[in-house]
Amino acid sequence: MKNKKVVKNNQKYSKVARDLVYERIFILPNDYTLSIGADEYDKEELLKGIKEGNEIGNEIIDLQLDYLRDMAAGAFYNE
Amino acid sequence: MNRVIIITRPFYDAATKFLFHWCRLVIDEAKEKHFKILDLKEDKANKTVLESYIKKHNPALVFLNGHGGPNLITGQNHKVLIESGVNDHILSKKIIYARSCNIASFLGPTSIKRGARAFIGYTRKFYFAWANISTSRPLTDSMATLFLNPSNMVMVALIKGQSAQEAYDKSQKIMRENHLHMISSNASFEENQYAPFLWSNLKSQILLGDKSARIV
Repeated sequence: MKNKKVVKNNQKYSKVARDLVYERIFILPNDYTLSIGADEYDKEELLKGIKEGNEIGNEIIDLQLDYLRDMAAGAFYNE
Repeated sequence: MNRVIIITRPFYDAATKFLFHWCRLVIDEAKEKHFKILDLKEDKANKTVLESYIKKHNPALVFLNGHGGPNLITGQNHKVLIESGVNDHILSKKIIYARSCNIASFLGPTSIKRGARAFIGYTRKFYFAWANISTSRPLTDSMATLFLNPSNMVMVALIKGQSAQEAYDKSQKIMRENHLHMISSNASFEENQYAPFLWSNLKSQILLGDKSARIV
């Protein structure tokens, strides 16, 4: 059942999108921690989440893709 | 207007440790402005104490810190503090700032419906990052500062008598400035990599209710 869920979540994003986000997270520094909700994550845990397509992985993919869209739209420089 | 502020600051994991210490700066600011602070820290950050203090002291401003979800916020050891439809009525007639994940997506609107004057919070996860070497000195971490300083500015502005809209705008402005720094050539590599998470906080922070509400 867990594997089925992972496969379904992974189908939410294209392989290109997932790989893109994976590479963006891959270059995060090793000695930092990110607080997300009730948990803290290091880089390896985020990468694992993206690979597995679990909740936190998908959240990171959503965030990063959203960011890239905003960047392309020039949103960073709007008031 | 009642010059009483209630702050919940649980302390039981790394994230709440950071929020605990960063709240200290808000408490110091409030004391300088001669507010009475009801500091519900650690084990006092529980539902019974919160409800009792709010009933007895009728604070004008409520600052909630901790883990949460769309319809609730937790206190010490992840125990529910306020839940929509259960005890959100205790926020009636107050200005609330909730530094917690997702809470403004549901508890925020329901608390306004139940009479809260204004509610500032986040509709998605609240992110922040820190260098592992700073875990024992949360206030010195430059990465955490980029995230938590603008977050504190909501409270600092309200304490200084600014309206909910002005407090929200101030926090947004500093987040935007910090984000621009993080994507600039002046930023460190680490700052650059964590910029998307601050951007998410900026986008998910909202103000509900009476934009002109102020406590002084």
